Amino acid sequence: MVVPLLTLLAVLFLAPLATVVIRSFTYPLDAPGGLGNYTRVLTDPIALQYAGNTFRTALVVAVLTVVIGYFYAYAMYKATPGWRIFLLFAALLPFWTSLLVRSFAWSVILRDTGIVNDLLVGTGIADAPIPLLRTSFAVTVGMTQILLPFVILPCFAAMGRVDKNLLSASRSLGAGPIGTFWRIFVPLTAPGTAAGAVLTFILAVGYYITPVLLGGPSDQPIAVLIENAVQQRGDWATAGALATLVLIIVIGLLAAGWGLLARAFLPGKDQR
Amino acid sequence: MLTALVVLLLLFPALVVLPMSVSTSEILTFPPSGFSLRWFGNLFTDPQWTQALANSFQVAVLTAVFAALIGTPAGIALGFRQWRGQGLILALVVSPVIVPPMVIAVGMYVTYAQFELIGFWGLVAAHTMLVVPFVIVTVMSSVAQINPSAADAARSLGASPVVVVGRILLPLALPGIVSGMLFAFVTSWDEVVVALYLTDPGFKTLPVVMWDQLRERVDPTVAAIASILLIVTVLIMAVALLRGRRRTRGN
Repeated sequence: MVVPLLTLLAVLFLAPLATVVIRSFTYPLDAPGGLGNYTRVLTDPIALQYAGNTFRTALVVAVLTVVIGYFYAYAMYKATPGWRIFLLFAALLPFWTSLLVRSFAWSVILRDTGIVNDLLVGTGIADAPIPLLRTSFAVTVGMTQILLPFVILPCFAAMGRVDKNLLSASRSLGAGPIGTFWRIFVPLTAPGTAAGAVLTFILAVGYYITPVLLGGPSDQPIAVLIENAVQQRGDWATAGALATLVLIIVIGLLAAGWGLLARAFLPGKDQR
Repeated sequence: MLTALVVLLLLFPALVVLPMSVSTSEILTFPPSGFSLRWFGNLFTDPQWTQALANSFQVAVLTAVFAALIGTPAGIALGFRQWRGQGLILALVVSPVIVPPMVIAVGMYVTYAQFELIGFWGLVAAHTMLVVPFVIVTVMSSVAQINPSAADAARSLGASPVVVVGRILLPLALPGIVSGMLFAFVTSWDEVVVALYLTDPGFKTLPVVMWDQLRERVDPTVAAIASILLIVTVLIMAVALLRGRRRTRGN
């Protein structure tokens, strides 16, 4: 029953990816670059700078979403049922609202005449509007907001599976509430947290819309470089090599985190 | 207190979009100046927007239907019983979700052109590939709840495999199929990067028109669309959450 799907995936999904990989070796057509395309890209300061932007942003966003998301999931875990529904609702709403619209809303909020600067100037915290839009700050805020649900949900699910007896046992054996939280609760929920972190990082590496709309020149991701190479110059050697490298990293991360990700995000018989 | 700040962070963009959509101003501003519903009217009268709305709707509906047609059998096969090599197949079929959009977009752009699969059907095909993991995962979680011995019992009592699938597995997988299609619809409806490559000036979807606008002159119609989507989403979520809550209480 999987065969129709696999056939279509092979033709409509894997073939396009393979085309990109093949072109990274066979272009430019008049003088195929082969592995030379890769050495050229990997020693190109601009490509390295964009790669640095991409991974720096992804790392910062992953760390922030994990810290905020874990804390938020814990608040959900501790909340009364009514509040829990509200918090779940607040966490899921961004999930369902347009990424384009949310990125754009942040640009309106953060611009010089936006609500944040109005507040800062109005309350006297700042004398003049602080440039927030087109900065790493704006990209970080926008992407953190967009990716938070991917951490909140697995963390909350992991917390729900913690055996409460272990927590009471820890308390009755003399550990304080803080000790019990850090030494029992956090380690028990670590797989869910780690799965959220890995997924957030993988997704953040692929982000294009949000950094382009909110970021400055030093926040533009590799995706922009790939797009420029294809759209402006038809330079498939560069685009192919860059895309293949990104693909290798993403697949590597997926393979490394597969056990965690599958347990946190995919349904399985063993969880019944 | 901190929780309230995070809630604010999560809801802030949505809260800003609503007032912006009723502004009288020609450009997007916050706080809005005055109150007017002209941008909502614009959405249903300006041919640029009506055409994009119609295109996006058709693409998203067909994408959801095709994703359900190919994703449901796969979800049942992957979720109902354990078999060898399952993990690898599962990793492959969910991979469209994690492949960076720009990488797959440029790949589809050249490959689909060779099949002459561009424009409307090209985008439907591309989106179907991108959203099929949602259907697979939701169907898997539905059928994972079914005890395989129910199917074995039906088989030993003389039901053919077709009857087992049609009378036992499909009905029980239905909630998963429906929520998977909903995910599929919303994802296709909102997808920008692949759509930028597979659409052309004569055929643009809503996110593509919005993207063009956001990079040049921005009129509040964008906020009006966002507001409508937001309200519809909130309603669907409220109904789903309330129903889910009643069901858990009932048990």
